[in-house]
Amino acid sequence: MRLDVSNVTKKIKGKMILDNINLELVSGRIYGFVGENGSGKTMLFRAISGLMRLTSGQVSVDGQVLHKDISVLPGLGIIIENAGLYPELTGLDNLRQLAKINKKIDDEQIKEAIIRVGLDPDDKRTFRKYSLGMKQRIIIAQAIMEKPDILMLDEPTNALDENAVNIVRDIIDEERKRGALVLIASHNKEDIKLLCDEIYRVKDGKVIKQEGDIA
Amino acid sequence: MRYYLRFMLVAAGCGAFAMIYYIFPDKTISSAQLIDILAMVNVMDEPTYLNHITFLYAPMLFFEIFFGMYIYRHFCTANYYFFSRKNNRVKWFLCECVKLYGYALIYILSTILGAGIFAMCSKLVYYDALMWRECLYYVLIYASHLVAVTLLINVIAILTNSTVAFTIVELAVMTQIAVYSMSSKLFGGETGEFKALKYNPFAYLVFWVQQEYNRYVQGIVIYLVLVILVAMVGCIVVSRHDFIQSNNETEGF
Repeated sequence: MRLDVSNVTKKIKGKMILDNINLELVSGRIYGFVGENGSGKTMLFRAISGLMRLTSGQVSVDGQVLHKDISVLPGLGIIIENAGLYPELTGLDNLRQLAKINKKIDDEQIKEAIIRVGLDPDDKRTFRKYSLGMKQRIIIAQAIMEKPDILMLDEPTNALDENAVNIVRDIIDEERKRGALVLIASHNKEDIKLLCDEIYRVKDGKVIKQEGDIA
Repeated sequence: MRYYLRFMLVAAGCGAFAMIYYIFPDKTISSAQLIDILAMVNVMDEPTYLNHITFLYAPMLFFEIFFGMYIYRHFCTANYYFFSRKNNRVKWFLCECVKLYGYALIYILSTILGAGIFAMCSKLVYYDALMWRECLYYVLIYASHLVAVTLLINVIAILTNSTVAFTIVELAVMTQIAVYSMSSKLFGGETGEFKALKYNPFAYLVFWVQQEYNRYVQGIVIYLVLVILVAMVGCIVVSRHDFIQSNNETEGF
């Protein structure tokens, strides 16, 4: 699978948010995106995933153009920083609601994903009662449960303890070995150094390939 | 679905309450008159009838509150994870509109059922074949009104938030009610009054007006057209929506 981002620009109320972004991404690799707060990393993920329209440019997957041939990227698993799930549902019920949309997986596979992130699928607590770390884990579970072809992870190790960080790193590596195209945006330099095949720096809405070690 | 079907009990309760208010303990009516009571047949366009409007419109208000976030809730909390899986948002939105219509039909029928069961148990109602015609008009007009108003709340909420949406839409409804109740005073003469009622969507809910001017079909058409217009606007809003805020209501966890 090949994901092409061509001359993508996004302006909001006259302000340049993404400035002429060009990327060529392929399956089986992990791409890291680093940058300061407000540099545009999350906006870049929103634009590539189809959750946000573009001012100009295009995103295509194997020749299929976003917002023209397709509305969202096919086989996408995504985490956006600070986005939650349905607060009144348990973790399992949340994932069931989302799995019902494409009907690709069954209950057993949903539970497998929850166990994989170190949580208990039979936990009766609702999402609103979860700790921050548990919320992050269940959100990671929803991203990986359908074995996505494209995995976009915005700050995946936020609020996680050391054990959970190791679990998530193993998951990301397994997804790459499975052949998924993985994009990670993170402030955690260790995550980026350990996992990523290519690193890009995002600054003022521009994306530049990082050569050498990240500062 | 079970969550929303519970509200049908509220509808049935409202229907029963209307019967307690208007006919219990000793007024006997026909089944057609039972539906006419629910459809405000005794409510003329004068301020003295405002309390009747308040009482009989309350079930509609409850529906608007229960379902005012039926579609909009997907734009709060889990919006990224829901819509990153939805390839065709317009098709999804139209399916939700159809489901909303289904709930509105069940809600109105529940109101009739609650009223009917109470009246039958109290032995205050007898069968009248005209009931079916009144029932058809009542169900079609009121269900379409509910869907038009509730869908509008949902669509405006997607653009702004639920507080603004409820305020704008309910203000519009209350204004129509206020104008209706003042029609005979404000617009002198039969022609003026007729025009005021003709151009007030709320007037089509009032079966006194419908019986006076025989405008049942126009009422059904007007509300169906409103539903279609709101649905079309909703399709545009939903398809062009940018997910920049994670939660329109609280912007985060």
